[in-house]
Amino acid sequence: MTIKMVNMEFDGKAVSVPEGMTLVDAAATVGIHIPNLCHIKELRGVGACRMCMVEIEGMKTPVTGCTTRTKEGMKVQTKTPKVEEIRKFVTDLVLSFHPLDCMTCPKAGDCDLQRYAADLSIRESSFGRKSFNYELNDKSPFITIDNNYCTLCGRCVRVCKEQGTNVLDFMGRGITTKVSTAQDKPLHESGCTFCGSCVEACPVNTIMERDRWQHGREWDLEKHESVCTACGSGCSVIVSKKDGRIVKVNTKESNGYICAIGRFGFDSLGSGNRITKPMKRQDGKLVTTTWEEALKIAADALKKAGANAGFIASGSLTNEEAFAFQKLARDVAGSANIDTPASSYAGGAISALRAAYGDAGIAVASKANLSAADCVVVIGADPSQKQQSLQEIDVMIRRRAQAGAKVIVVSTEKTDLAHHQNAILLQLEAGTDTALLAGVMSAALAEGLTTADTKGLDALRKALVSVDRASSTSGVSVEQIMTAAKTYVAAKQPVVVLGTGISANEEASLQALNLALLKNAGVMPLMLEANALGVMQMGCLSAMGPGYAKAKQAGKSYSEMKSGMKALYIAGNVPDTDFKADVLIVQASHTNALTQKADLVLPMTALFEKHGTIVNTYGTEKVFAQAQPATAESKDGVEIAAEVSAAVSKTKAFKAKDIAALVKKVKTGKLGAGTFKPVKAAAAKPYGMSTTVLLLAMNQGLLSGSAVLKVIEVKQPILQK
Amino acid sequence: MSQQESKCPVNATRVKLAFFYHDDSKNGMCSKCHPCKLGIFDAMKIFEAIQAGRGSKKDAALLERIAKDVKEGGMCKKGKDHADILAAFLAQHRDDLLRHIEGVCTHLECAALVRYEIDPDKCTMCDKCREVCKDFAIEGQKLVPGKTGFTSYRVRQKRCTHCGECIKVCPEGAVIVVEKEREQAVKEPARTLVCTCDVSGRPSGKAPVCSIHDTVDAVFP
Repeated sequence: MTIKMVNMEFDGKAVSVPEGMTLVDAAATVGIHIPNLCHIKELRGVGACRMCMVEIEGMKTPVTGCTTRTKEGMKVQTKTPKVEEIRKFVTDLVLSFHPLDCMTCPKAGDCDLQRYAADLSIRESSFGRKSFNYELNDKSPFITIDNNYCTLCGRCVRVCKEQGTNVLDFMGRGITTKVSTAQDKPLHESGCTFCGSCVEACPVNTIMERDRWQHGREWDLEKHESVCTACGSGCSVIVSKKDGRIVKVNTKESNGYICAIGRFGFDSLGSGNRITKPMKRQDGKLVTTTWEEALKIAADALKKAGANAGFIASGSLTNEEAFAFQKLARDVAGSANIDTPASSYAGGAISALRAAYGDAGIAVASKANLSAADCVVVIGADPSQKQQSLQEIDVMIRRRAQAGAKVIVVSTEKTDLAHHQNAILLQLEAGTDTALLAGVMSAALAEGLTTADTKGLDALRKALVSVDRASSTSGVSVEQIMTAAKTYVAAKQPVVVLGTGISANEEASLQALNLALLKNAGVMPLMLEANALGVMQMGCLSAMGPGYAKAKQAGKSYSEMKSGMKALYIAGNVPDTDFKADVLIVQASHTNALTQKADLVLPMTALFEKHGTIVNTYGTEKVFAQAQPATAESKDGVEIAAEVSAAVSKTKAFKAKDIAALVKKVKTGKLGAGTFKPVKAAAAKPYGMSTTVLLLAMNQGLLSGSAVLKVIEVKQPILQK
Repeated sequence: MSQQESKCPVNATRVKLAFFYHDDSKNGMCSKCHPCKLGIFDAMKIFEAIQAGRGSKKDAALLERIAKDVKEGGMCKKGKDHADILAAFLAQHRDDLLRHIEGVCTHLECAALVRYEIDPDKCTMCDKCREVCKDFAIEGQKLVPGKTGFTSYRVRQKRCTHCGECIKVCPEGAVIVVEKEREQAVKEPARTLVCTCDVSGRPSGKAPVCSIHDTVDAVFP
């Protein structure tokens, strides 16, 4: 899709900007700032604050810049006396009831109102001072709301509504309007997920992080770009520090989303359950030891096990760590048994993708554009803000749905996403995905769906079943299937999302890919770990070496390694704890159920202490630097792998500093065009796994060290272990 | 409007704006855009202050600014219409407004700007007004036939809240409303301008160096 550029003028400056953009955004691209209190990029403008008034040649009165779209030949004046007067008037009025506390206000330096008051040289309001004496709402964790400072811009309300959380709204009318939750309850009783998008949106200090007071102001903070590795989204964040201490975490993208774990979970870095020193098992108990001894124990165990040593690299490692880890396994320890947890919860999807799109098929998500989709087919996935699992993906889908896109939910239960008004729910019986999707496909073909790629279509047609048959097998009514098929046929840019409900099963995953290939739709297999795709690209798969090359020798897979290994080395957070090995080495950042069972625990850096590159579930590669020094004696995964390699074998050892260059050389692989792989449409044994349970199990260590745990509503038994 | 239209234009305009502001029906304000929701509220507050006798000279200018900017910056017609009402008031009844700011309501409606007095010629000393006054602002003694030496009825101004109950009950119409005496305006102390900049080295005929000196130069050439 090409964007049409138009020529227009801002303050006499000729510019070329995309057509249909709002004037505020268009002016920002050429470095002109139009003042505004209520505008948020990428959100529909409301024109409430009237600060962004501009004059356009040929128009009688000033118009708002946030609701007017760019057009060919427009001549915009952003600083005429008329609009300056309206801006002054509005700022003057807002200042008449906004406490002038800039001397102590934590938002000073980042406050829009302060900036505009300074720009328009308003020292104090010429109107009567007003105060409404609202009570400070500090009853809930993480976020405080002080309505006394509110400028009534409504950014928080719109952000909350647009991402589908729907907690904040206006209460009352006129100047006494108040931003509040339903029935004025505290946030934690009103279904708030504490994502903090409202904190990000607030132009003043009405909605703020709870512990922000006296913890540095904008000019005191040193900022670092980093990535949150708590779930598959791998969100880019900006970590702000004062005196070496993290005070807040923000999103990097404007109007981006990060969840409660990303924004407020940084307290887990210094929590009590952090592993600060290597630990070994002595007389059945874990006792602290030195790095030298720990490395010796690890090396001895690996040497003794030889080819019977197992290696598991979790997706929370960075590319560098994963590469070093597989190098340690394959080249130094001489074992082919290396795998990642993704091959268990998304094993079917991985082999299906490789079958349909070629060897590099795992990276197919990089071609899917979820942020422009007009139809999202969610198969077996339950991204949910309320249950705190894959929140960012839920927000992305909901934003599209809010913009009018249809969401087809294929699930065994009514998920949170299925409650959206634009959602079509196909609630099937467990294990009948292949049959249901075959029904949808035959209905779609009957609706007159034409594909450019007809290769293998005939074979696919033969394998499909009629809608009635699909309906009787899966328990979904014929009408529902027909509606879903019609919606899918009408879509222009559909995206198919594969969740853990089907991704463990290869046939179901193949059938989902067939559905996607029918319309040449984008495919997004959901990975639960931040760098699951990167770890696989780095060769941490039993059948695959770095750069999707076929491994010389296929080793045991993740589930096969659960028992019977002489030595098992697990790096990072994995969802399972039922591992049995003669020597169990766990490399982790926080104590969890798995480290309790380990024979040797190596302390690793966590979250913002890491640096390197990751490839998130969208297939986007992200480079980030270290934001926080490593805690106590914990070390980067690359260093640990290098030191272990030196302890195992002097001749084969590698150096930590060489890894980054080697990672750059790893091929990204070429994505195939995709071919149909017909599968038998029949009911199978249930194979679904719950995303929430898997994610909670994976992040158990991290979460139990953080206050965020308290806001996670779903209390799984896993967490009580 | 349920109430009878007020004769005093200041009061009438305030009532109109307040009705618009507080009306819960869909004809009321939507409270979406800032100039209308904040500006009209401030206009109401200025009117209230003027009617309470706390008006100041800059109020007229402020009202004018509100009328102009709400008209230009407002989002919808409804808000702009009410800016028009304000503008029409300012155009037609400016003298009334200025009189109110000085503390006089010639229409004798703005309670804080009037005095209640009892006309001793008309008063028959029936005591009805004293009985009805809830603020104990009227003092006097009921006339008993055949006795003399009664003090006449009078209103204690500091207690009177101008509620109007005494006017309603007086059978003779002896309670009268008069304009409050004009108070002497308090003269604001002149601001002393102090500047520490070097006057001797100022370039002459160039752009101003110090705004204070320029002001002084303008005042005392």
